[in-house]
Amino acid sequence: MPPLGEIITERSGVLNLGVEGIMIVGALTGFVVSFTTGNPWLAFFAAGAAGCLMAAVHGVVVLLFLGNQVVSGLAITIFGLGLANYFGTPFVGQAAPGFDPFALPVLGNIPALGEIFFRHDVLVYISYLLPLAIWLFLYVTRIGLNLRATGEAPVAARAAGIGVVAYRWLGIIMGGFCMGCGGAYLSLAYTHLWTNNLTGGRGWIAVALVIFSFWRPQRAVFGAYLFGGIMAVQLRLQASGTTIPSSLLLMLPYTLTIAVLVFSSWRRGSTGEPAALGTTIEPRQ
Amino acid sequence: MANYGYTAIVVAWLARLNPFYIAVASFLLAGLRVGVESLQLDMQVPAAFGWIIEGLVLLSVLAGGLLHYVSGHPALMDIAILIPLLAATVQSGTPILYATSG
Repeated sequence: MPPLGEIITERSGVLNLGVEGIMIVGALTGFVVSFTTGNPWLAFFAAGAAGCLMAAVHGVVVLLFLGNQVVSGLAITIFGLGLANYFGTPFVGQAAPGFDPFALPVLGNIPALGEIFFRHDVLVYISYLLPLAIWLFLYVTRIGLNLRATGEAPVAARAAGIGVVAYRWLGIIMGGFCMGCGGAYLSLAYTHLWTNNLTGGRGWIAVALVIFSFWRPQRAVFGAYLFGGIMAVQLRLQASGTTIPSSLLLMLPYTLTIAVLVFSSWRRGSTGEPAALGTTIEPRQ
Repeated sequence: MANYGYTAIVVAWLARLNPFYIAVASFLLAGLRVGVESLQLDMQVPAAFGWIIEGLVLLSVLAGGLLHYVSGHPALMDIAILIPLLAATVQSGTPILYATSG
């Protein structure tokens, strides 16, 4: 989910390197709300809202005060990690009700495939549908078209009468929602426990994944399963006690991303990077 | 409290990417880190408090850049350097004061 959020944000021309911070704030919010109310769904949407808030801070700095997008994202990461570790300290080691795995009625009984794809918690099922929804949003709806135009050529988009700043806000907020929900998945479905630094660098993997997938939601899905597979293999290898250092495998998502970038620049093809990514829109432009 | 790399970014931007101000900014942030660690020892305030402040300092510096940008006026640019430094002094000084007095 976080890579999809980052794709929406970057497609509107705003770079948000605060994924790590936004995810962990979402994770903590989700955990605390679930811990106090016992309602995982409420917790899930609270996490999304918290993600929106954190992303809105980025939006204020970047769109209102025209700050540097790279550094603002890093500031959001520092800020978010601090917030989550500060307010999360009393909850370390506590467990909260979350989403439990269940098998889908018919699909779960398919041999092999059912075991892999259809015996998870409800958030995983949502994650099957979300990329499709986001692809439809970006490529089929008029709002998505305007959003992409804002990311590619804000000056031309403004001349065409598109409220570019509003679309960038939309990209930031929608992205923040996805990132916050992604963080909540970690605390509510993946662990059910709170530990400090729960995200453990997954936010950075999300950023790498966006580049790896060339800013396309459909490719991000395959990339996510590839990177997830690498993480799983790394855990298995560690458990089986091989001599391969686990750090080498932990590096793999990033080395793969670099390799893909080098490869695409060799072929001189376009990576699909939004042309106006990281630029500020000046009011008098 | 590791993550010195992030602090380096805060220092560089607090110094407005000017090598001379780096000494001042890094001294202030070193004070913040040491102060926050004493706070954790003395008052059981999680040291992550320091990250919150660092993040807020960096966000304020970035937002303060607008002043720099809107005016382009030399005097205002000096103020644009001084304001974040002043803000950082206040923000990092508070935990140090707490730590020394408490």
